[in-house]
Amino acid sequence: MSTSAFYNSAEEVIEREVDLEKDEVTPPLEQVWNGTLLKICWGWIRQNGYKRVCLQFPDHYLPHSDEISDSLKALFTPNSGSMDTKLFILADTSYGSCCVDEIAAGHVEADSLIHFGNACRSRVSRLPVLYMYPQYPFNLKDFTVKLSSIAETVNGKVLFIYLDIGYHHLLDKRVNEADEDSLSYKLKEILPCKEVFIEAYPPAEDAVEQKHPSDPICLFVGSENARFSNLSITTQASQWFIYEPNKNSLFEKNPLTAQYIRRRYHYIEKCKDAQTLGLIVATLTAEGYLKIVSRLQEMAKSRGIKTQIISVGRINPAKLANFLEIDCFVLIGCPFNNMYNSKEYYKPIVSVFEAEMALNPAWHMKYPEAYVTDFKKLLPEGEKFLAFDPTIQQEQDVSLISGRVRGITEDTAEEGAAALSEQQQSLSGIGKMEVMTTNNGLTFEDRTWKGLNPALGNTEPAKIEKGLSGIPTNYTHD
Amino acid sequence: MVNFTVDEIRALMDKKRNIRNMSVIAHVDHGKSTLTDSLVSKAGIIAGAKAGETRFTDTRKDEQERCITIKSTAISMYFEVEDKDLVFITHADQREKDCKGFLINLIDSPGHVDFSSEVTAALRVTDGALVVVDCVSGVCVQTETVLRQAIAERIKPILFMNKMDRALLELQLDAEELYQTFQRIVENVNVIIATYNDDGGPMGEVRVDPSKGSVGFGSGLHGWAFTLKQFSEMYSEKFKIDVVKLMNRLWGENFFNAKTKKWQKQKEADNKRSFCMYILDPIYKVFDAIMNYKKEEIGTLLEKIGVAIKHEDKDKDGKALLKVVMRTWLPAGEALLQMIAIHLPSPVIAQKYRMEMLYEGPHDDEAAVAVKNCDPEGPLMMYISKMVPTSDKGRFYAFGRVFSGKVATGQKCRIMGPNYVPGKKEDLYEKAIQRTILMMGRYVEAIEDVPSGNICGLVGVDQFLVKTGTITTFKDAHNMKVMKFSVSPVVRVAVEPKNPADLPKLVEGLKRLAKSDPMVQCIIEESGEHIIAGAGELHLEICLKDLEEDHACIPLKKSDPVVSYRETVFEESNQMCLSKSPNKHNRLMMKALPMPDGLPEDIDNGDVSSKDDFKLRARYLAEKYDYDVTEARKIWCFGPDGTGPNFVLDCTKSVQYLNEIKDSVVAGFQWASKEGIMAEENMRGVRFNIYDVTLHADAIHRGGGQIIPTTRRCLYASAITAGPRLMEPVYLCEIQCPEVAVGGIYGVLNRRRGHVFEEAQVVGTPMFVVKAYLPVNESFGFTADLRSNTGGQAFPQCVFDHWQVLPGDPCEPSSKPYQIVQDTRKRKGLKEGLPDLAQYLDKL
Repeated sequence: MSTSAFYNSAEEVIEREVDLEKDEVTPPLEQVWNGTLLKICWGWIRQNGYKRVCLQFPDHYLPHSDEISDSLKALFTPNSGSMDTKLFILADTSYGSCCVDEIAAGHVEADSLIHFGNACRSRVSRLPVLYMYPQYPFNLKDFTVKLSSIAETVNGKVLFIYLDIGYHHLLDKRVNEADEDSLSYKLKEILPCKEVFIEAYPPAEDAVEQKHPSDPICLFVGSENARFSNLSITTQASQWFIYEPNKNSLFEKNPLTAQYIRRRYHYIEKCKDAQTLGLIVATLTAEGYLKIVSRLQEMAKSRGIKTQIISVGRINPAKLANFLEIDCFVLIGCPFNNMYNSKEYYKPIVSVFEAEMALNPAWHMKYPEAYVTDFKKLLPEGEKFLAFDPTIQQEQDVSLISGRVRGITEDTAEEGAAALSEQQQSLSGIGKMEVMTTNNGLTFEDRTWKGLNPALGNTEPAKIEKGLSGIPTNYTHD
Repeated sequence: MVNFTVDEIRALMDKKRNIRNMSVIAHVDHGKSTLTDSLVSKAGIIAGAKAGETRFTDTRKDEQERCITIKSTAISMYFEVEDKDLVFITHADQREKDCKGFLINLIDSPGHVDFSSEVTAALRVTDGALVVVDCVSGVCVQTETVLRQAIAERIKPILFMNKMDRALLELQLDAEELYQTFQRIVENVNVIIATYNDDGGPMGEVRVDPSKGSVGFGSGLHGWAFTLKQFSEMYSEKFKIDVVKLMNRLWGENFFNAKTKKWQKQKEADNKRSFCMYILDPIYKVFDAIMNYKKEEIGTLLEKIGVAIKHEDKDKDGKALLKVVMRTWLPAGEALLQMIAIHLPSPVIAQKYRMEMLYEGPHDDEAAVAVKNCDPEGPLMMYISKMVPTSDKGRFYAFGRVFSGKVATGQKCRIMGPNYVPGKKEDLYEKAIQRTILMMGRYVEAIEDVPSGNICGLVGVDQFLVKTGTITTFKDAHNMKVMKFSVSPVVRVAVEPKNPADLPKLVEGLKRLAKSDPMVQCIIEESGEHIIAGAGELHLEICLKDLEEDHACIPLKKSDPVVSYRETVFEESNQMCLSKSPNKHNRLMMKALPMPDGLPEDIDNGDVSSKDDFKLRARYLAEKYDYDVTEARKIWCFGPDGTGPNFVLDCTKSVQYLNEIKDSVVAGFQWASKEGIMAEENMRGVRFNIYDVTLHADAIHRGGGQIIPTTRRCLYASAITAGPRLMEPVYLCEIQCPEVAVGGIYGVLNRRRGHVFEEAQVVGTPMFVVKAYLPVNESFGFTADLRSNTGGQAFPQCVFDHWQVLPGDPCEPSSKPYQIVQDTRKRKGLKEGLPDLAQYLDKL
């Protein structure tokens, strides 16, 4: 196997195994695509008169992508008046397949995008997007039978039912409640609940958020996946149940919130300890990401923490380990991220919410009732917003990771300055923010290798000269 | 009625030769706090009649309830020494001319081994130590430990034989027996002193000698004490001998023949040991007369010893009368005061020889010279040895000793934590001292300023220091040396709030707890567990109680105590381990092998460290551990945390770009050695050799991102293939008990995987000392178990001693280490099962 300095051998590239996420199996075509969905897509394109439409697929949907686009294309006949509409297939997205990849769409100057599969529904700022969820089979009868087993538990309480992606089609039947087939109708019949709410998860943008009563009982229809963990840590519930339609099983799940937050406290402490924070921008579309970046920068600055903004596309351990000076990363991205608990990363990654808890003095001694994965909620319009007041000096405190004191020094030069003797006045004044350096062994000064003899300060800076122009065979000055 | 004012104390602070800073140290239950009461009452702070019962320096409620000292407590007292006694203070630097007043800053310390960090903190700020020994049980384990620590810190000891009342009343020892007991204790103490102190050293001779008056005898509980000096003074006129000469005659092999009126050097039929005759006999007579209610005799005796009983004590008899009589005849405070004033060094003397032990910087810089001379005009150098909780929750007094200069209210100072390095800004704060205060046991008194040689507290510094630190006004000052504790925090409990919403309060409480105790460690682990680590079960019990009641003020759930383990290997890797970087362009080849016995301990003790010169270190390793010198010169780093007992060694031959990836390899090594492969515990005693490295020619493809994770994988692969093992902490356990109980001890130890390695009788007593190694993991409930199996006669003292390999392969599902690994992984929320070598090892 020959490898040169700049490229791999072709053979190796072909043989290289690509790591696919194991739990994502390609679903059969009929669950992803059917006549109804086709009609919706077609109607949406024609109604709005889009000319360049991107179809974005997650990796495991790709085998069907061709067929889907063909079936759409077949409808673009001259008499439908959309002969010039072009379709593009997007794959291998920059951040995650759940996020709308506006940048890739921008490359083909698309005017609209149809998104397939798992979606985080982060609000998109530029393109109109149509979400196409798969439609998994659902046996209502089995479901109701299973549900009756928890009738005792939910007696007189409020029940929230969240439908995972793939089961949103159950909602459509809700429209006419009197319909005997309707889900809520059936549920009301068999369950002695005070109230039943049924919601799709993730919610559509325009969905009105239900006012949550405190600690309802929640039921998640779908498998135990990233969406469930995201939902369960952000929602306050007294009990969680999961119904898996494909296995027809119903089981109880302990709410993770308290345990999860306890565990994240370790990382919050690390974030407080950090001298340099890396703000990883893992979205270029989600609304408010720039606001959150500047908010984090402001908070970090008031604590004397340096920040660096990093955008490296899809993140992996190797990319982030290149930033040796950074002590802790803050991931600014869509809520469906499971990077936070990976042990592979050299330095910890925290969510925006955790960074907020670490850096905003308003969170001091405050316990979050539920976790926040969506950073929009932390912005001024958001429900979890706590104003940041840079004038509040946080007291120096002890790190529970390293056992050291941390915090910034404010200058107290004024007090008692007059009383200082000459000798004491000769003490060097150390300005704000200057006192913080930790020796983690990896700052540039501490490295043993600093590049090929940089001879810093020993060489005269070169003067600007007029350079060569033209091509080597024929320079203009010759 | 307190017979001194703060102003008097402040005036004395300037008379640095009349200051004595001292700690009271001893084995648990030998009567330190009780004895301290005698001095406190002499100073008028508590009533004389209450002395011995109040235990004034046990300020906490639980200290009073359990009758055990938990925190060391300081108290400053003013005394006047009579002219006749002043002449005994001969050294010019031991007293100011024309000043009778002495300032004694006393620190009463706990005796239980779990709190010995408090003792360490107390010793650091004092110059002398009053070693208290219960004359019934003799020199015990903890006596030796604290004495050794004192000598190591260059603290001069004096000895006090306590509980003489028990020897007389309970054991009914006759005079000669009692003398022998005393003699043996003095010898034992001097043997320990001689072991750890070099008489030719800077401190000179520090052995204790009754005939010089540096050994006291008495009963703290009854409030009486004497040294040979007291008796010598009584008799000197009668014998017409000089007091000093007579003191020499009153101890040792000196006998007096009452018939011939001659002194003799040997025991003969009609002579009697002078100590027994002139000192013990009168005491015995008083005891006998009073305890046996011999009314007439009492009267004549009292007249003889010159004690007049006050009106209100006339009706007393028995023990109560005995107390009054003895206390009036031989007041303990007076004897102690004289011992302290005459035999303990003033700061002026002590700092001369202590400076080099205290200061990290060059011994001739401004700060060093000022410390050496105890110069109040020099730059301020103050060491903060511990934090004392205030009534204001969450705030602390920083307690310490001014070694030079003056610390004053409102003064601006540099506050340097233990991680401060001169010239850098880390762990350095510049702040004004809000207030300086005098520690008076349960009370504090504000004071304007405190000059060198004194002990005091500071307000407003606590937020900038965790536990200890240096305070100075000298810009180029180095730190004062960090204290070395004789115990380690090896026992851990995890706590969580009963109500999850109290979590922030718990975190805040843990931070306060971390400050309030010199040794406790509070950590949030990656698993989300909030861990408190302490020296032993009792230590943790107190910490948890403080956390729950004072610091966090919330109900807590506590886990059972657990120990932390270490991961090591027992053979060389059975194959060359190769790992490729994520881009497949870089390859590392390494092997792991165990370090020779003793080397990890050498690294722990700092005998081998990253700061050594690499040539000296290589020679040391070559000589002591047969390392190849050229290889040993190429140790890249120690880890975890840059200092731990593992290292990476470069065994490569002419590899291109190797120096460029060194930093990345080091980073990967720190990571991997901190979180070992089996259960993410620290590694210990593992040496990693790098044999070959293949690197991409282009620098961007061999950056940290490629090398750090690869190093970690390669180290893990090397560890897996080198026979991974677990190590557990082991206590050295010393148990004192009567012979009948020894059998019971063996039974308990056997059940707990302990093994006895020494068993000896304490000479002259029916007591046995059993020394054993006991795994910390098996020590929970040991004390109670031992007591129930020996009828409450055995009392263990456990100190962390070493790490020991747990027999059994952690990869073997039936073994005990496997179970421990799985339990630990589960606790930490890791995937259960064993690490898969294929994940870390790549093929060429």
